[in-house]
Order: sequence, then structure tokens, then C-alpha cells
Amino acid sequence: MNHSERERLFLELFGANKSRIQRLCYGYLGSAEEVEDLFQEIMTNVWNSLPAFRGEARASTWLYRIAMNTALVYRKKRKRGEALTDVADERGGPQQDLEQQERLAALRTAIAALSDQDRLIVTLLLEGLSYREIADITGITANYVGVKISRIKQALEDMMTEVSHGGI
Amino acid sequence: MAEFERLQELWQQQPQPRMAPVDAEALTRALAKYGRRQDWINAAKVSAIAATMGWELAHLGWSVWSLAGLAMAAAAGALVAIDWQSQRVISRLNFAEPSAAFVRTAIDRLMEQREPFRKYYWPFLLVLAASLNLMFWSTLGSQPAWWRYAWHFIGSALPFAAYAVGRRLRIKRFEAECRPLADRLASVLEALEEHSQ
Repeated sequence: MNHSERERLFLELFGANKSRIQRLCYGYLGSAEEVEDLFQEIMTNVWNSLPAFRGEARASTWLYRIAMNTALVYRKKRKRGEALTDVADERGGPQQDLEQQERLAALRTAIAALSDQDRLIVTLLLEGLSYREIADITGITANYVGVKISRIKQALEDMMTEVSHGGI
Repeated sequence: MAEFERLQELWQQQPQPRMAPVDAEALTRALAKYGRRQDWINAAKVSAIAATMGWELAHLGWSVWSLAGLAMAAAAGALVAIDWQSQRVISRLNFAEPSAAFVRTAIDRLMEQREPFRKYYWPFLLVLAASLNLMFWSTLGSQPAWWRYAWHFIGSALPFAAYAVGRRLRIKRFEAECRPLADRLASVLEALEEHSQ
């Protein structure tokens, strides 16, 4: 892969997946400053790994895999044992009404309470990925992804109910 | 969860995460650090060139060899000076209040570091090839014709081969030193452009 080809592929991947990867970072970390840091790190790793990309997996799956591994390492490196800060914020624009903002904030708070891997899995699910794709990205079997997701959904439901009743 | 699909929709429609504002100080510091590194490298190159020129004059006097050698050293010195100057401009950029145009120019300047001598390619290589051929011409006058031609061929090809090797090394250096800075600037540019929309 020559340089211009690498640059073209990078820009293509970046353009098509930027928002999704940013949301994944945000769902995983919750702080805008850190999101930027992690996003940069993911993009650097994507750039460095591009020559090894053979097109065997779908580009988005490949990208998510790098994003996920980078996110896990990032957190291990920088936040060893430290709990996530409260992720609720006021980022909702005029297009999102108050109720939606509250639901989103409750969802983020609930996600923040999950384990590192579960946070990534649920973020991928929220992005609309199938169990099969999540399994490809995380390296666990599709069946186990199914089991995990049903547990995660239950946990989210419980936590979001608690949040809406002022429990969290 | 029955309403998970609605959460999915809500999640995917959420506004883009707001990126932190440009850390001008860190960016300026990173560029200054890059500049200091280049200063050391260029100082070493200039010292080597000056030492070569001094040695030639001291040991070879005003011979054809020393004149040709001086011409090559002077050409190399000119390229180092051009390179050094553009690197110093980059290292002094201040991002206290960056505009999109300013950042774009900074990225262009950094990207030029990938192959900074492209526009001097022919003048530089012709000076090197002519100097080498002059050296061989002054030394090989009594040798058989095929031997002289062989050396002249080497003298003409060598600068091109050396440039190709130098270019590869330069690209390696670019990826290690400039690419991370250019990536940071690209994200700054993107943030500025999004902000202005």
C-alpha cells in the first residue's frame, strides 16, 4: 500500500465512521477532554495499522476492533482502578427536548456503571451492530454476546428505572 | 428491554461530543520541541559539511578535486540551510488564536517536510553529478576508455541513487516526527471548521 492509497483509505474510513467512533469513545469514557484524547489515539492506531489491513473483514468491523482494543488499553493505562466520573451533561442541542436529554443522561449514567467490556458491547449494540458483528469485534462467540447483551439490557433497565425514580 | 430500539435511535441521534478547545500551549510546545530536535540535527549536518570543506582545503589545496568537493559541500549546505529555515518557521508557529487558514498553512508546511527538496532536485543532482565527473575526469585521464566511461557512469548515477536513499530516510523521519504533529493540527482544523459552520 503506497502513501497516497493509505491516505485515501484513512480519510474514507475517517469520514464514514467519525461520528460512530466518537460516540463509542463518549459512551466508554464520558468526558469530552478524554474523548478527544482517546479518539486521537484510535485514529493514530488506525493509521499505523492500515498497511496490515487486507480487507478480509469489513472496514467498519476492522475499525471498531482497533477502537475497542485501543479503548481498553487506554483505560487500563490511564484510569487504573478509577471509577468513571458522572457522565451526565448538558450537550443536548435544540433538536433534543428536555425529556430526551434526561433519558440520554440516564442511559449514559447506566452505561458508566457497567464493566469496561460491557460498556463497549452496549455501545456497539446502540450503534445498531448485529450480534455477529459484535462477536467479530470483541472476539467472543455470538452466543455469548447474546447472553451478555440480555444481561446488560436487564442491568440497564434496572439502573434507568432507578435513575428516573431518583435512585441513582 | 422493550424500548431498546428507541434508546438506540436516541443514542444515534445525540449531538456530536463537543471536543475540548484547542490546547494552544501544548501544541506550541510540541512544535518548539520539534524545532529544537531539528536544530540539533541541522547543526550536526552543518558541522560535518564545514569539517569536510576545511579538510579539503587543508589537504588538497586549490585542486580540481577540492573545488569539486567544495561545490558538492556548498550545494548540500544550501539545502540544509533551506531546510533549517523552513523548520524554524514551523517551530515558531504560535497557536494562541489559530484560524482555519493559519492551521491549514501550518499543515501544508509540515507536509512539505516529507520531501522538502523536490523543487531543487535537478539543480542539486546536476551539481553533484558534474562535480563527481569533474573529479574522475581529472584523475582518470591516463586510464583505458572503458574504465573512464565506467567511472563516469558511476559518477552520474551515484547522486540519484544517494538521493533515493536519502528520500526514504526522510520519509521515515517524517512519519516519526511530523506526522503526529500534522494529525494533531488536522483535528484542530476540523474542530475550527466545525465551529465556524
